[in-house]
Amino acid sequence: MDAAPVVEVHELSRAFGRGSRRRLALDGVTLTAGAGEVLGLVGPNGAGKTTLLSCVLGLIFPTAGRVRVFGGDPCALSARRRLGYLPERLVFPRRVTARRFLQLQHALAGRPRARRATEVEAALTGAGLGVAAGKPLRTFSRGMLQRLGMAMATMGEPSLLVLDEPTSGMDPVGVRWVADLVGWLRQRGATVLLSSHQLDQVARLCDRVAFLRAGVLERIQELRGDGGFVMRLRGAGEPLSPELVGAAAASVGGRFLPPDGPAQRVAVEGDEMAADLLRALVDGGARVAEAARETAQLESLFFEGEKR
Amino acid sequence: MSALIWATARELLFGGRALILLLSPLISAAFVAAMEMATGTGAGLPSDLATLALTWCRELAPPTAVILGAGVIAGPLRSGEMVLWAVRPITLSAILVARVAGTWLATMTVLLLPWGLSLPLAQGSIPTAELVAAPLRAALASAAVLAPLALLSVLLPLAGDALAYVGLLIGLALARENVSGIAHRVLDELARFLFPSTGFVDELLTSGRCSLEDPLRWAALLSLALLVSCILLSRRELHYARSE
Repeated sequence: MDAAPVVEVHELSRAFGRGSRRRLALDGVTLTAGAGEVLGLVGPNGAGKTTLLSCVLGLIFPTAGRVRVFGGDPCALSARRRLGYLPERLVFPRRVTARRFLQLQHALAGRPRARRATEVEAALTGAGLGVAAGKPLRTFSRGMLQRLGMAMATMGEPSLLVLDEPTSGMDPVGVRWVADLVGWLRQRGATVLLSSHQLDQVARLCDRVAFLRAGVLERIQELRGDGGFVMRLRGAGEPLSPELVGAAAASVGGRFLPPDGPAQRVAVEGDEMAADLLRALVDGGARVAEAARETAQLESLFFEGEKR
Repeated sequence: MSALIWATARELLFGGRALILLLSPLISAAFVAAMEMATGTGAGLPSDLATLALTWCRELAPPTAVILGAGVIAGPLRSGEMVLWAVRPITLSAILVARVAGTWLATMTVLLLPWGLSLPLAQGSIPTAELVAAPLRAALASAAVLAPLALLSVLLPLAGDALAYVGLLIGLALARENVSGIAHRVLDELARFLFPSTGFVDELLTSGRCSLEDPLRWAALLSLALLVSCILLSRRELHYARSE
């Protein structure tokens, strides 16, 4: 990850309305996101997630504080050339075809005209919309529109991708496609800001998660790197032996945690340790049917804030 | 920007919305005709009041119908689509100009194509000079009207748009009373541009023929209404994006 942050938000406040109707949608939010990082935004409805993203995109302006993207003004055209955006509320022209829509977006994105046909067709195929490319968007389902929106947002390999509820209305295949796409962009050094209510998705995709509530940034939780995560393990047919899992955890430096029903739990410090743990379990004779990142941590943090 | 111009024009032309432009003068003409019938048959209205109402209908119905039609045409701007354009590397003013140009293009195509096609039927009665002068006059007039309007619209958000339009009309009316010579002629032309007569529609409906100048003035008025609507609606759209 580069030292210079791609997105810098410093003491950002944004108010809507005047007088007695004045409402503070964001209140002194400070955070950064670096290159190759996926930063999740989590919070209840009305927490200020979309407002924060809109400030980062330069669609709305801060009442106080500062937002910098690629070290400069988010409204700068140079910044927008490197930007991809999928809004929560998708509003597409109803009569145009998917192909025509992406061609227009390709042109607006300032991509080379000579590569338009190739890149648009690649985007359509990648989104699984090859067959429907010639159909008007009014005939598209919600999931298909969401796929089209993702294709639009990721066109031209943006350096900063802003996704607001990207998998809303998508089938499981679409959800996996989005996850793969985000992972691929991260590997290529892109920064991704992801706002979602799907905590399992956030846990799977994000390096860090920012918890917003009533416009206030409550905390930023590390999900990868130094913070580590909790793995849930389930055996094939019968529960895994706690002794075996405990020994495997100890051998790789993980921490054996109390089980949750039939699932054993181990705290690991990163992907490498998780892989070592699985190898140790298999070598020890354990028949592992399922190994997944635990989302309960995010859920508990979410509801912890809710109680406050 | 050119992509957005063509996309806008295509959307309006093939989306069916531009047909409203064709209908709006007919609707207003029908309205005026109905008022004329009501006053002509003495339908209980005091004659002075009826005449006044008829005059107002004649003068206000066309621009009202046009602006309503323009509102429908510029409707997609309200929907949130503009947010997708605003995050692209294109300035807001370029988006507005492209949207306006595309709308204007569609409007002129819809309005002038039938007239162009009917020219051979006009039995050569239209002077060539008039063919050039009328659209040029309309284009100049629209530019003269739009320049201060656009400037005020940018300087004063939202309320400034309406103020600019109303202020322009009042200023025009007052100025006409106090100037003479060429300035008076220019203002007079602008006033005629802003409040054209529906006479050409009546003439067309009764005799099947009319001069080319009036329809062109109509087209120019439509262009103005569309431009105003686009500016107003675009600003509302920005407001929508900001309050999200």
